[in-house]
Amino acid sequence: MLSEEEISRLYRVRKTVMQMLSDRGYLVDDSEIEMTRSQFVQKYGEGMTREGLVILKPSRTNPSDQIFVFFPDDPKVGVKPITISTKRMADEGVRRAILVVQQGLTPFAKNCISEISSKFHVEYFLEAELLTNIKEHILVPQHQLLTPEEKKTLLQTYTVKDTQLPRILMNDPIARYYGLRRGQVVRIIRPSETAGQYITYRFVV
Amino acid sequence: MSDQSSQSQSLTNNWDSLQVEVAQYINSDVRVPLQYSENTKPLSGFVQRLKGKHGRFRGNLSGKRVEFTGRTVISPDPNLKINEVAVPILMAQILSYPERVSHHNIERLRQCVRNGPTKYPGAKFIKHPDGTEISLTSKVRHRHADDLKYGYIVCRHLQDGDIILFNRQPSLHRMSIMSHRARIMPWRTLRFNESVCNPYNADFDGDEMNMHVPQTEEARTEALMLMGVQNNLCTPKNGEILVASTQDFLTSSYLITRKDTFYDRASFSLICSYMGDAMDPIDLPTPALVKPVELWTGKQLFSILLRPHAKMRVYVNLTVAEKNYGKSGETMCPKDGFVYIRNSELISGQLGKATLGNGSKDGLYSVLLRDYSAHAAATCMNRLAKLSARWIGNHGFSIGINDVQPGIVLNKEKKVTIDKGYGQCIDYIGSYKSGSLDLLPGCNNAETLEANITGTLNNIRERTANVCMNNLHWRNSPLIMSQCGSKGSPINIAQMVACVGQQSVGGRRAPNGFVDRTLPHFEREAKDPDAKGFVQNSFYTGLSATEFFFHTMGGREGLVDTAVKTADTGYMARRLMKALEDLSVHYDGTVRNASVCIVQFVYGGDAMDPGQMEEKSGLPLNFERLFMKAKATCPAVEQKSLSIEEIDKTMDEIIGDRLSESTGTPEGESSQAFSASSNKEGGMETFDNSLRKFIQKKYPNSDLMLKLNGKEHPDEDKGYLEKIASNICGVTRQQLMVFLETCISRYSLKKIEGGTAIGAIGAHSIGEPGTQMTLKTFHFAGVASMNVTLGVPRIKEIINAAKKINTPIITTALQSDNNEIIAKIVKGRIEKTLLEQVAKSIKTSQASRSASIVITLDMTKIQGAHLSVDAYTVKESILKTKRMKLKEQQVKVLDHRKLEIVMHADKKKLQFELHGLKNKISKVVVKGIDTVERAIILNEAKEKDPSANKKMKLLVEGTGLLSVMGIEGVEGRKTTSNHIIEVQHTLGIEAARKKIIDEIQYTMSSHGMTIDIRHMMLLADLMTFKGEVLGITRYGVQKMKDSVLMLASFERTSDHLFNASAHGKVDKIEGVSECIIMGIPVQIGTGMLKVRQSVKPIELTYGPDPIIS
Repeated sequence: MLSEEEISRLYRVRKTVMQMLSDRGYLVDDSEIEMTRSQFVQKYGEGMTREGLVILKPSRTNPSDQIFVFFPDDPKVGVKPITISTKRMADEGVRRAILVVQQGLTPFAKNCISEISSKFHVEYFLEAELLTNIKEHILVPQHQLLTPEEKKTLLQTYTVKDTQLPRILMNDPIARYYGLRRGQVVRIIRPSETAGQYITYRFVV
Repeated sequence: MSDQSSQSQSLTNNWDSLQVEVAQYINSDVRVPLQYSENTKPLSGFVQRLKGKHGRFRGNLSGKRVEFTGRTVISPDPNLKINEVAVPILMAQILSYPERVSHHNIERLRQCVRNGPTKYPGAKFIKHPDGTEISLTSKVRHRHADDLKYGYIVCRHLQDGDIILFNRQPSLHRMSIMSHRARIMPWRTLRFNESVCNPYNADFDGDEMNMHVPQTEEARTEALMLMGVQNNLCTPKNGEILVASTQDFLTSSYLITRKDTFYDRASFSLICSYMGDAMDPIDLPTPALVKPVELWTGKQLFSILLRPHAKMRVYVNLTVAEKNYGKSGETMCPKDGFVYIRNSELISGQLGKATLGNGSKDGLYSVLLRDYSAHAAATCMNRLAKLSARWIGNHGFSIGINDVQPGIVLNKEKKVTIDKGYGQCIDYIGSYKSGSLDLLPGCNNAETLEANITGTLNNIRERTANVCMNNLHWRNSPLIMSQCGSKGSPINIAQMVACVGQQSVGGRRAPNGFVDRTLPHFEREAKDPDAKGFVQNSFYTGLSATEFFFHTMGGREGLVDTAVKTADTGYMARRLMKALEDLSVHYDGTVRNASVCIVQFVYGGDAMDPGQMEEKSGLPLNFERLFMKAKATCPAVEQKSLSIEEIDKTMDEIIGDRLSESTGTPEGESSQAFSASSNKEGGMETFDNSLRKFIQKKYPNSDLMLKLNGKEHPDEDKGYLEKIASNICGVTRQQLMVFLETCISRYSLKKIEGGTAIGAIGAHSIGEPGTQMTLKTFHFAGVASMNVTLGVPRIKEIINAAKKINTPIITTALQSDNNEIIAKIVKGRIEKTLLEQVAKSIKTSQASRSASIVITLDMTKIQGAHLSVDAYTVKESILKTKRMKLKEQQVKVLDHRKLEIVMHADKKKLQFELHGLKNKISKVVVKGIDTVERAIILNEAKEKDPSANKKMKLLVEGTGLLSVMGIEGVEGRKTTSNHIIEVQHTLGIEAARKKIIDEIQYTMSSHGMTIDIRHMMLLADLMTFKGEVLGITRYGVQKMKDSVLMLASFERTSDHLFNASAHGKVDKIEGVSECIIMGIPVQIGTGMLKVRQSVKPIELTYGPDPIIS
């Protein structure tokens, strides 16, 4: 049984997750993002559990490319819930998943994720990280992922190798939000005091 | 057998000692087993030769000793031009320049050769084209003079007009070494115009300076073009003028331009002749008074100084508010503080530092420099220097004891103020002792008392200072100096005349050096002003013994501060320089480092040169001033002013024309989206928009027209009035065109040039202001009790990317920021609350085998602070706390405000454990975030309307940005921390970059320093371009740079060298440090371009050379 406080937390987390999926290019209905707290309570009922919140969304461009979002019940997630989740992913043919955990993963669980990374791409977030959507923070400028063609033209115009671009780490909060992979390039559009708007690029490492 | 063993023992011994010897040969600092260490003098190993400030790397490779240099004491000479330096004849006879003999100089050089090395102007050597060198010490030099041929090189003495480099340590920015022209003079000091003191930060209290003589024509030209004083009038730090009039020049200008200075024809002409070298013609203007005698004003003298004769086409237009401007009335200011120069005529205002001095952007010299040329500004400075030196010599200006004698009024006033202030302080102390003091937010009783008393005492000083300034005679010399800004502040005067004021040590009143008191002269626990370092005497009346002692305490702190600061900032500047030295602007507009990694795609976002920004906030142009100039230089006369539609049309035409022509991109359409120009056009577009916006503000004022139309005027009159109206606010076609034309053409000239070593400039611009900052921390705006680290320590934290900072503060926005109760609730959720703070009692009870602790909560306190805490939540938080070793059964909730904790343990240990547990329990965090120390509610709304519109914010002391953002009621999207590493971890690298810029800017601006934002952007970009925030420390720099030589010349020389040799590292010699070490031209600036020619590869044949057949 979840307390009121926890329900509010979950509501906020779920909203951010929905926004995140939408930003990543998955098909998310506006009503799911705009959902109010009372609607949320209504939908998941009184006996709400974390497990019950699980989300499955297809990509906007390629419907067969789907993503799972799991909300494991244990505060500190071990290997077991991960194996259960991967089994479900295997059953439904989904390759990507996000784990939203309360306190973190055990070291074994982390190992487990990296072991299966060739088959399943599993990311994990803490609930605390998803309470507010950092993408909307005033300090964070707009990020856009470049397509491979765009990346190629960019490298050509500046005659650089991709390693010579400014970088962003893969475990950067924003990179994690967008689920960036090594080798991709993001365009960052910053508001600038001098020029009004300034465009820069970062290479994901 | 024993023989063998002793042999092997001696062998191992020898082996070991050989090992020790070899190890010490490499590095004499290695730790050696005691028996091998000899107590002889320590050897210097290879490592010791390499490392450290005087080691091979920093001492001999990065910096070398050079010939053709001189150093001696400096002194001022206002008769020299600003780009000249007087070189003593003795130095000129030692320093030489190799001049090649040609048709033009052969006779002169012959004479030099004849004079020989001891007679000026002579020569020291002759070099023949075949390389032979002849010394001219011998008597045969007359023959050598006759034999002189074209192409020979004569190393002649330094002569007038030779280019020399002039430098003063510490060389903190590029203006610390500039190129001057030599003037050979008698006596023994190097002399230069006082106007150039500022860039060198020199004074004449015994300073020495160095000079270097470039030895080739190429070096001379480069020095003149790049390092010449005239080309460095402005600092690239923020575009303010640096070479400008100082001290006496300001005083005399101020006195000359007094409203009541008049000169008759003779004296006016005489003063006019002071300005130049009798080389320029001067047109005497019409006298200001014609009858009864012709009289000219001092202001007219300045009009002549700006524009001596009619043929000179310099039309300066500017308005400056001087220090004593009364904030209204403009040119009609009663104190004559509004300087208005129209078409090179000084119309109003007494000139002072704001107009003539350094550190302003719309002063006279800045305007001359921007609107005309560096030469124009320099000649004006020369003229003013000459004029004022001579004028003030005749006029006389001095300080005497009577300048600092207080009047009767002041003495009376001072007594009243001090008595009143003391009374107030005693009241505060009284209420402090009785505990009835109204607490300031976030302060305890003692802090509140201190804050109140300090406020009162500062007020006393200020008020006496005001009285003092108002009562001084207008001829008082210190007053004049402070008014015109040449030296001294009102505080300095007040300290001499009225009252020295509160002495502080470490930002507080004097500390207690004895038991509970500052000095044994006072009672214990005395808090009154006198006992805590308030000096009510002035320097004139003299300090009492205790006051004097307090004054020395403050004085010592200042000295210590300076000593510590120089070391700190020097190291910081060095690190900054090492990290940024290789960044330069490339021709595609990107800023890249030596290994061509991109740091910025467009320098500063708009590719503008920070040294040329004309607007105070760092925008390229000051439209207001240019518009004024356009209107003044193109008088309307007969032309009609344009209507709004016409203005729009003209504007579209010109802007459309000019901007399209300057942004024509040769590149194909396909690359448009990414090309460098897409960013550049952004800058252009902003400029375009701001220009349009400005013009829209300048539309003919329809109100004025309406007013005219509203009233009934006779037709004749109406036309006349309309003309006046249009003269005031209208703009003619010509004016508009001239304005737009200047704006656009000048904007495009302000682009940063390819090759600029912008990294080095940025490092200077951030390092140099550091030396001027004090080490103190200041109070936070709004809340007295919350301090933030500022000054050098804060800059250090930011630049080091410190993981642990002194005062982390999370500025928390609230979802509903107008409700005090909600703010308090949120505060309760955030602030760390310990159990002991909410418990009424924590009691222990002990039986024979078991013991228990009973906690009673103080519910009134809890509700008062709007905390949602009861026994159940306390139980949870106790169980959650780590290292408590309590099981759930042990903690029993008795009712909603009582808990009991039962313990079972051995009888022996029970007593100890019980107390241990009690201590632990009282420190349990029952509510809030445990990394947070405290939170303070800040009401940002203006205090005038307390109820109308509240704007609440929370200032949270401590870390844990992520948790604070997640608290309910907090607007997470607007909540930020000043802890950069934490911002990086929670919000990402881009947010960290923004925060670095913001924090540096905040720190700098709170010390009253303006630095162009582009420098801070570059620094922030450099610190973040590797994806994580790298500090400018040895660890960070190591990750930024690849070059071994560069790292070796920075820090930990030996480690980098050993490492590199072990891994077989390759250094491509592309950075600045590496090139300097190898003696190769640096690939930045003028060294960036290489002439490439396709030459057929030479065919190498192996074997013996073919014999010519």
